[in-house]
Amino acid sequence: MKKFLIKAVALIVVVLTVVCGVNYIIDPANMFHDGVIYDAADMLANGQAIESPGDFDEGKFIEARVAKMTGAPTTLVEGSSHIMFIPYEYDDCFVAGLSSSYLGDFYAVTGVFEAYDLMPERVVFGIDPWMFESGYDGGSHGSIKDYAVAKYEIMNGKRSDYSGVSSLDGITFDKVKEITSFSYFQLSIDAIKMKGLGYFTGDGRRKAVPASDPEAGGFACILPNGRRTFGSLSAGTPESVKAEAETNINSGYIAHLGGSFTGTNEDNFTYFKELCEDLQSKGIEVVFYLPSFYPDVYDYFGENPAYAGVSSFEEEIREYAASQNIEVRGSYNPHEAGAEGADFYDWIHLNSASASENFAYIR
Amino acid sequence: MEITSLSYLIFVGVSLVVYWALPHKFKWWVLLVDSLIFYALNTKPITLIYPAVSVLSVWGATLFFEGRRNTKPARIVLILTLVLNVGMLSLLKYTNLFLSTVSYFTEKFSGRTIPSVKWYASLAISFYTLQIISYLLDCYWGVEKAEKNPLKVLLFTIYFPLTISGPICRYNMLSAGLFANNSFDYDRVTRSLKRTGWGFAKKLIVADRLSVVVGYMFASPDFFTGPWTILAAALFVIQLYFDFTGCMDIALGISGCFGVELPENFRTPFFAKTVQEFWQRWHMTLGTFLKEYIMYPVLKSPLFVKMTADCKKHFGKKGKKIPTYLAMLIVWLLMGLWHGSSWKYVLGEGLWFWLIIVLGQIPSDFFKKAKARLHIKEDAFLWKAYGIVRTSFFFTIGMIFFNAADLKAAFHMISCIFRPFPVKEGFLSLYRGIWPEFGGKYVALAVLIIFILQTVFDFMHEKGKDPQEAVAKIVAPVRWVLYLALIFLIIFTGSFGKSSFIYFGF
Amino acid sequence: MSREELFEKLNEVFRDVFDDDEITVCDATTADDIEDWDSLEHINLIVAVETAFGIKFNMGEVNNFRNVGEMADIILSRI
Repeated sequence: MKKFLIKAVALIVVVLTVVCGVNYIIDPANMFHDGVIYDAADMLANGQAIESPGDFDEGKFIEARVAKMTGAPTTLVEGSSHIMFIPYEYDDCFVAGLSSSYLGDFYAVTGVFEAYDLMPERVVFGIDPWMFESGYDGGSHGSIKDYAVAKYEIMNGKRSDYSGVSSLDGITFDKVKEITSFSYFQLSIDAIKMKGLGYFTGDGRRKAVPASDPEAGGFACILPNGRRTFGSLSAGTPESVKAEAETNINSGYIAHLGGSFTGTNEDNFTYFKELCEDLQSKGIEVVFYLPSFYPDVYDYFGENPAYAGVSSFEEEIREYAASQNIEVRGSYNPHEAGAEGADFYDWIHLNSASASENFAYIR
Repeated sequence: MEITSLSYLIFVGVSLVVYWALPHKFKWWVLLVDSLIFYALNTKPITLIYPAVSVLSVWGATLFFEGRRNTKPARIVLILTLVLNVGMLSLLKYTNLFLSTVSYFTEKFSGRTIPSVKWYASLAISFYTLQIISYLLDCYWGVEKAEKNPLKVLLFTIYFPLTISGPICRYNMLSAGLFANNSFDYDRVTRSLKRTGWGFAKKLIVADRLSVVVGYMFASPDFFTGPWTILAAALFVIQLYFDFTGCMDIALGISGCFGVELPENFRTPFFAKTVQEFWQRWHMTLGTFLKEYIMYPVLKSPLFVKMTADCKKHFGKKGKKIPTYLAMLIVWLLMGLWHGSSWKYVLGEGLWFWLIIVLGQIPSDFFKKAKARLHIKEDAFLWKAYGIVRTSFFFTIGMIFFNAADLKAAFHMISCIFRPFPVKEGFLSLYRGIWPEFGGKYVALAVLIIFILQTVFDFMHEKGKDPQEAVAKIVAPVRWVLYLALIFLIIFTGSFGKSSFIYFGF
Repeated sequence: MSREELFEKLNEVFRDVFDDDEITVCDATTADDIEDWDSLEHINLIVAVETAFGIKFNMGEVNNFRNVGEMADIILSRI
């Protein structure tokens, strides 16, 4: 048995060393190297725009920014990348967008602001049709999921406050779990393939870099009010964007929607309504924004019954908004909202100026 | 606690240390406590009441049978215990099927539907109920001696490696392992660990990765038509085979580490030349259970014996088979029903295979003569190959029912086989829609490697050779490199779900 | 009845059930040795043996015979 134990322990040690070592060194989401989040939050709080770090835990970043806020913004914008790039018409507006937002991220971000007692006078929700596929705790950003759950429980009287909830803890059990995680290991390997080993062993990405020319520079940037800029380096031409759209349409698989969209999940939509009404009951104005689809993509929805849910969901949202006196900006239908092919940065996102006009549209 | 998770491995690792450290008389206690913990972590602990009721009823009944063989009271106790246990299984698992079926008709006649119930079924109830019934009947028939200690019967019933997918064990074999004085055997433990590791590779690399593609294709049957439908079904069969046999490797491997030997559930099923032979090689313990505890008692019952005699009288030699086919029908309908609470299983896992077997049996004389006329030899390579392809095809059709959402979806998907073949669109959709989520070219390579290796192992098994022996013959340093390579292949390309913490991308 | 007589009678039963006059069974004979003796015919054979000898097997025995020899032992103990 001794021979066996020695071999077994040796094997386990070898495997764990490799896995944990790679996870710690590469750390693709900066879980163990989160200094960049605090540095970035510092710089932005001092009014300095920065180049978008690229690999960071966006949920934690939002909380780090909120933790440094001295006063509540007048307007808070929540949603996915569709809302991040817009120069809003509001004064004192904070853009708290999260990549690939779902309902759970609305609950989470709202929870963070509420926990720090920095609730705004107005909340703008940028709504994508697929957002209610998962529930109030099904956000894409797991690090602030506890805020989502706490928000829901407070709304339902199961909890009194946010004490004990934080994504900015030092060493947590979840972090320890993650260092041994095989799925995190796979992410690390993917990250090495994408960026090369030197990127991670060097110092470069652990720092926040000030942006010299956020509006017209080459790199994507983050501005002090949370708004992002695209950066000219990765912009497409109207022709390339049109071709991109065509390829995606022909694949029969539209990003985030999948092969079909016949309607939303009514249970989760109800959770969203509860969130809106909770905000309104506290005297906070709620606004909806429906970002337009690329024209060819929206036309494809019209021709294909599998995607009939997109327009029917818009009507459902508008009906609810009317019943609650909620303003609805934009429209999924680009023809209605006046968005053309040339207004798009890529086949999914409007460029900043056009998005601003898109946001100004009210039916 | 998924069996492919780190927490399960830690659970098993700690248990093994405790198990082998303790003296013999405490060893089975470790297994019992483990099984209870496993049960409690995988389901609502309150559902432990169901196996508890089963165990108590059967333990009491088997003790009652002692000294009362062939008496009327024993028979009554048997029937009551069977009704209780089968009743629990039926109620917990099949109530919604019953309600939805009745609801289908009430909707047609009165427009009203009946809502389904939300009861919590017990973990593994389909497996342990059959297992404990086999013990009950074995005691009743005098094949097995009643166990006096109810805790031992409890361990037999909820022994944790069995809870997820079986195998369904007989008492004599399982108890021999559970309660015997197992000594630490280096060779057996290392063999078992290697088998477990291979099981993880099969499940995490092949089955879980393929399931992504299979799910994608099954979700759009109107898009993936013609040969795409057959490909989707074939991929599902591969997924199912690697998932099920992977789970078996893990179950038998982990149990083997404790020195508890479990029966095999698979014997290279895709070498079967007929559907009947297939089901003697696939999920063998279920087939054996149905044969010995359902089919034989049914056929030997006075009603069926009389029916056989009558049929022979009126319809001659061929007629003698009719009761056999009827008993088979009962068995196959139960086989279908056992797989799940839906008519699609009854049809696709049950009726379909019964039909194929019976249609193969009825003209057996004609087939014999035809083969003689055409000079076809049973063991000719082409004839065997034809049998294998034909059998695999029939099985694949049955599995469309298994994976489709419901009966209607299954028939619809089968109808899609006859539609045109969108070659380019299909490839494009797969490439854009699911290839990244599947994992890309390295994952594909890993899947291919494990698939090819398993095929080689299956060929070796079929020829009576043991792949583990062949591996053991490799020089130690090379062998250890291979072990590490397999472990890292699983870690690099296995499907571990999204990291719970992190999301990337736009 | 002696063991030889029993086996003579068993031969008759087997030949009748499987419709083959060439079958001869002995202690070591198993289902693998007789072409048509599969799970579907097993009970027919059992019932025929029971009828021929006027005895009854219980299900435990039916499921667990390893060869014809075991069957013969049980028959001998019952008649």
